[in-house]
Amino acid sequence: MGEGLRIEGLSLRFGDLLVLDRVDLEVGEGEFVCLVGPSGCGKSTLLNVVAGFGLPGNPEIEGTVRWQSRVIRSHRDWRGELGYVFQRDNLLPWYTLEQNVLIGLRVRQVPPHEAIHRARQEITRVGLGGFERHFPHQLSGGMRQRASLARTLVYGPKVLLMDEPFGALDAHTRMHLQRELTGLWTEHRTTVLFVTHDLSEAIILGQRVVVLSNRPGRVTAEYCVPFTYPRDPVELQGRKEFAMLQAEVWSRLAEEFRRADLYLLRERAP
Amino acid sequence: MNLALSPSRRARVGVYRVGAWVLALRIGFVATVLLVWASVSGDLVPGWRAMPRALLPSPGEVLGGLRAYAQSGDLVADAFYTLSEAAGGLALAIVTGIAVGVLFAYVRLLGQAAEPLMVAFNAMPRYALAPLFVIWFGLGMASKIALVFFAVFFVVFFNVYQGVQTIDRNWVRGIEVMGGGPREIARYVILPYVVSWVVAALRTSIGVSLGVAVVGEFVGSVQGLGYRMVISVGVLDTPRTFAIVLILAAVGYTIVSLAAAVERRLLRWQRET
Repeated sequence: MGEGLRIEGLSLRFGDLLVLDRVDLEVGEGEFVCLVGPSGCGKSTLLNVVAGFGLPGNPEIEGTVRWQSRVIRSHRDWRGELGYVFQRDNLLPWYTLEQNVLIGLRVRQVPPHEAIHRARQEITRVGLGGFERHFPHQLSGGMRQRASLARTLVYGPKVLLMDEPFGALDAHTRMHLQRELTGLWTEHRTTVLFVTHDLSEAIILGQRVVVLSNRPGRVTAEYCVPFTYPRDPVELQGRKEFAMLQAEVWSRLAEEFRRADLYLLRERAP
Repeated sequence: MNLALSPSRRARVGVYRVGAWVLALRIGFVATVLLVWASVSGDLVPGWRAMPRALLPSPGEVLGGLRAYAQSGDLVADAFYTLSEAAGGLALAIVTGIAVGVLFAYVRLLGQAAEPLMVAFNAMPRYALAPLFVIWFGLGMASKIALVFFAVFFVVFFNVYQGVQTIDRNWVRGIEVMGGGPREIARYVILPYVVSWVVAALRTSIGVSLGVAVVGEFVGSVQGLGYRMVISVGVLDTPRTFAIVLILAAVGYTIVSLAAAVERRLLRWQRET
């Protein structure tokens, strides 16, 4: 794997609060890795550090993030090779769907004619053909997440970070999008780091599932998921192997969730 | 403290369709007011009026006043004068309001330092300073432009200042991830967002600038609708006074409707609920 995305000894603290504790994680080039952990364990923070975003509150950060042996300190170090899909879509509300998808290509100075062609193609690929001139507020939650995906995939990022992108959707829409995502990934084979607190989602999507502990977050276990792509969530969840793997990971994860609950109780106690 | 007008809330107050019945009732309402006015002021019953002409001229007399005013050539010149003052002050206020609003929002320390003073200025009835502005800037246009600017600047400033602070961090991050720098962030995120907040403040600001220009002329001027109004009241030429009020109402209604149309067009991306 060597040349993919490497996170080495990453620690992050806000003053006295240790959020991430020496996290080591590798995502090989073209690999799909899911990161699971209880809420508040620092999963999103980890993604933000990997992306190189400026974080509010000026935390102390140790350790390194590398992409193809290039050290990433700021979002600029990605040189536009990164895609990021947020939990809440970040489409710009004053632009139509098509204009939103075009921004990534405009920033790269793709010639307008080609840009429009590629944008429309990508919009059709995520199943939003016919909605090009709609504004984000005219689209449903599921459509907006599809749009976010199109907006990101259109400029062909080499690494895709996804922060619970389907977390706010209803179960039905979520399963649809999970299936479509595995389909798209089968085509693109982008390097993906996907964060979720939903274990079945992690197993449905990833080639590998990495468990992050309760705060301070560190990698406590990882599991290989043997299923082939593209995957069908409904069919997959009916399989015995799925249930067994889920039970196995859950036995590890449940402990982290329990510790997270205890932690919250203690924090709230007077 | 929320001193700004949220774009979404302003967008809802638009022209809406009404049924034939409501339309008929509206016309009836206006007709009734006109009828009552005409009957007490001598237009309907010749030789009898409840109030003298100097206090309440009849509709016919107001029309006569309007005609005389237009024929004298003063009307167009006065209206142009007053509108220039209002437009000049408004344009200045928008440009500087955006510049200072963005500056104070991004240089946090500066914004925090200036905030109490800005709030205090925003809270005071600024047109009450009209006499002072006439002393400072004279009887010409400059004093009214300065007064309009002073009255509107804070509205624009607060809308921009608070608007910039509500920019979603992830909008900016989305551009950064694509490889965009400060220029792209300004172009795709900050500018369109700030413009929408200014547009939201535009309709109120236009009304205020026209009113403040007229009040400024009351205090001291050499031309303009407000100036002519003070003179006509002084010589008890109330038909002309009423004519000027009518002109102000018509002009105000027209430009506010125009602004509303611009607003609907530019802010059509906002949720309409």
